[in-house]
Amino acid sequence: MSEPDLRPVVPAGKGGRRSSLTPLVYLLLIVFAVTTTFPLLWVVGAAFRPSDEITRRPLRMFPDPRQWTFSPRLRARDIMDWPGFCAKLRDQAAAAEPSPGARLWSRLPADARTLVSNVSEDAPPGEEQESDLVEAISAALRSRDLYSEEAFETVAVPDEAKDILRTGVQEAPERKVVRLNRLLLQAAYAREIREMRGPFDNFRKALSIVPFARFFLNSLLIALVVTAGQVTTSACAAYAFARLRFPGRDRIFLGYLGTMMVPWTVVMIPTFVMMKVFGWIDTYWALTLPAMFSAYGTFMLRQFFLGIPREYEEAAKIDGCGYAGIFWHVILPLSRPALATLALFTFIGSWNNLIAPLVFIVSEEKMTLPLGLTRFQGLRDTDWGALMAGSLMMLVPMLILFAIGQRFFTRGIRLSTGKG
Amino acid sequence: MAGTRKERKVEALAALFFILPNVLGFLVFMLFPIVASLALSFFQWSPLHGAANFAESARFTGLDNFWSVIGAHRHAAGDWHLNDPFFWKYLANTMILMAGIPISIIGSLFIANLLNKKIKGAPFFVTVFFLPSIVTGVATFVLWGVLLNPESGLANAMLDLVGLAGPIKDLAASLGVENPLLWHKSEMWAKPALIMIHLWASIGGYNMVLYLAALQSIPQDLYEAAEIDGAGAFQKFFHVTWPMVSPTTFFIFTMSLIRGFQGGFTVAYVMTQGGPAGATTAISYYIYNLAFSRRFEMGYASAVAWILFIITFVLSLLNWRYGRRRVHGEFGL
Repeated sequence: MSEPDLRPVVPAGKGGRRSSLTPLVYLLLIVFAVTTTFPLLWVVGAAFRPSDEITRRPLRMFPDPRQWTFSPRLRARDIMDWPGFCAKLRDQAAAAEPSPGARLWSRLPADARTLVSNVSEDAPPGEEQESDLVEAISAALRSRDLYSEEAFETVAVPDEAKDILRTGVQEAPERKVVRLNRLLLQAAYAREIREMRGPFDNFRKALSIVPFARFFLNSLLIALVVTAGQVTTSACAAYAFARLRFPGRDRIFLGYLGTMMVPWTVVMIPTFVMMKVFGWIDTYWALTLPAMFSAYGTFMLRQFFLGIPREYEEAAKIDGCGYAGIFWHVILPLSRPALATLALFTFIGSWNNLIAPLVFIVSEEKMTLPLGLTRFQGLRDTDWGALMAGSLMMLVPMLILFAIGQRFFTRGIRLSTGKG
Repeated sequence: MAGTRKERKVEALAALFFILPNVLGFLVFMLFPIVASLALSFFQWSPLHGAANFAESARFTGLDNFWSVIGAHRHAAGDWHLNDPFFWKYLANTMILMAGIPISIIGSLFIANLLNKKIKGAPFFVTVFFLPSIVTGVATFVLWGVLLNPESGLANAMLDLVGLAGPIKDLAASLGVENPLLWHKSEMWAKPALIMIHLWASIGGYNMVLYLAALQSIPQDLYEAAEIDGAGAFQKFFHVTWPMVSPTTFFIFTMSLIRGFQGGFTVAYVMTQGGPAGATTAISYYIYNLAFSRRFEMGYASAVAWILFIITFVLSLLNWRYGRRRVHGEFGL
């Protein structure tokens, strides 16, 4: 049996003739395009909005930007319950013990205090009063000493705020101070002040639960090494199989072909034992080295090399090129589409590989994205926003790579079945 | 191009240089594991119980592992029982999950046919259709898990929106079967759900591109001759297109068959953990569980893996012998 071989290609255009059915053809193609891309578009929308909004009905394809708060600046509509907020502020200010309310109160000007005192269930603030109050509170948000340990003792200070506190409030830029104070306020008045919501909250959350950045780098590193290795070893061997004569060549090649049908499950178990013996369990070696050799890649490139006219090589030979020179200066430059296609498939195969890290890797800091994502799914099965953010982080590099590579690929892949 | 003896020697030496890394890797990471796996399947060995040392803890059991997988034993009452009923169940699962293959092949050919009709923007469509097959993996399975969530997933919400969710549920209830809208969470409908996901990732993929290439290489005069004979669109398809693409169909079918038997691991691991009630456990997932997850039964797992290999091999051989006759034209190695 022969894998259809890759050949350099003629541009498209010699298909059938245009007919009255053309609109129907376009319609079908568009319908199919929409159904196939829909899930991929949806994940983009879902990654940028809060989990509760993903399940909200009626359905929305893309997030509502009005949900987002890009700056920590307080707006009138961020205070969800004016009477409740003002009452709580008053009560805390009147009490003797230190509290967030007392802290805030002491930083409000006199006229703002009067406004706060006058607001009640029966007398909600008017629009003008609201904006005056928001302005006063916003001024307080810029103060560098709103936080005091005693005052916020009873409040769960969020991690992000702690980070800012750790680096020092006095030296921090005003933007950070405002963000810190806003975080503190919404922690203290969780029911009255709207939470800040940014488009990247899901990503932030996902990154705080498992080290996605680390997974990402691991995946990238491993995929790059595997791709470079596999393309190199395959191209070298394919050249020998396609062009050089040596004893046992065809028998060895047939051996390669024969193993292509062997299930990965057969190879996996002894490989695991071998990695244990080598002491490579929980190392990058186990993820890279065995994946750098591929019978399929060798086979595919050999088929392509066979299609290159020998005349080019003869010319190079006359110019004094050795075998290495022919390989480097003739074969490889002529095979760019095939090499790019193999590289693309190898990279994505490595990027998506779940089983190898699952079997070989134990510690979290060596995990790759597929394993990390399944782990994350196990921890936060219901947090869809964060889950979709994780998925998107894994999808985007593949999409980018495909966008770059598809030029080579849709040309290089114009294959034809036939003689091998 | 017969060279002198010295030239031949140099050529062979150069070949050795080019081939060495690959052959070494092939021997160490492919051939040796294959042989070792076969050897392992004759032993009972689990690195769990005390010794990781193979020589000390393994017990040679001959063909016992194989018999334990595919054989049967007789109970005191006189009736026969399968030694490993799970194996047979999961083998059946694997084959049922492959039911999508013919649909996928027909779909690919259909789409390729549309793309071959002198369409403006064909490269754009090819790229878009290809996307799912490129990205399919853990990330898309996580995504599908969310989309098909029975309580608040998007799929059911959309069906609800067009008023289909209720009727489907009622129909299933009146037939006395599980609601199909439980998707992969239902024992009955998990396999169809997984097949659907597979179709999403495979129709527009590599197979479609192969078909497109095959269609483009069909000589136009065949169609013109058929038209002169008064053939309609259907006749042209069944008497020209279908026979002419049959080598491609054969190739795709063979590859799908091989992949189908080996597949099903990642989707099961991510979406269903092989459930509900083992409904989506393919053989590959079973082998993984045997070897790496529950019992660490390396010998037994190797035997199952080899049985899977033998089944794949025999079916491919049968397909090769009998399928090839239906293929138009030459199709040699």
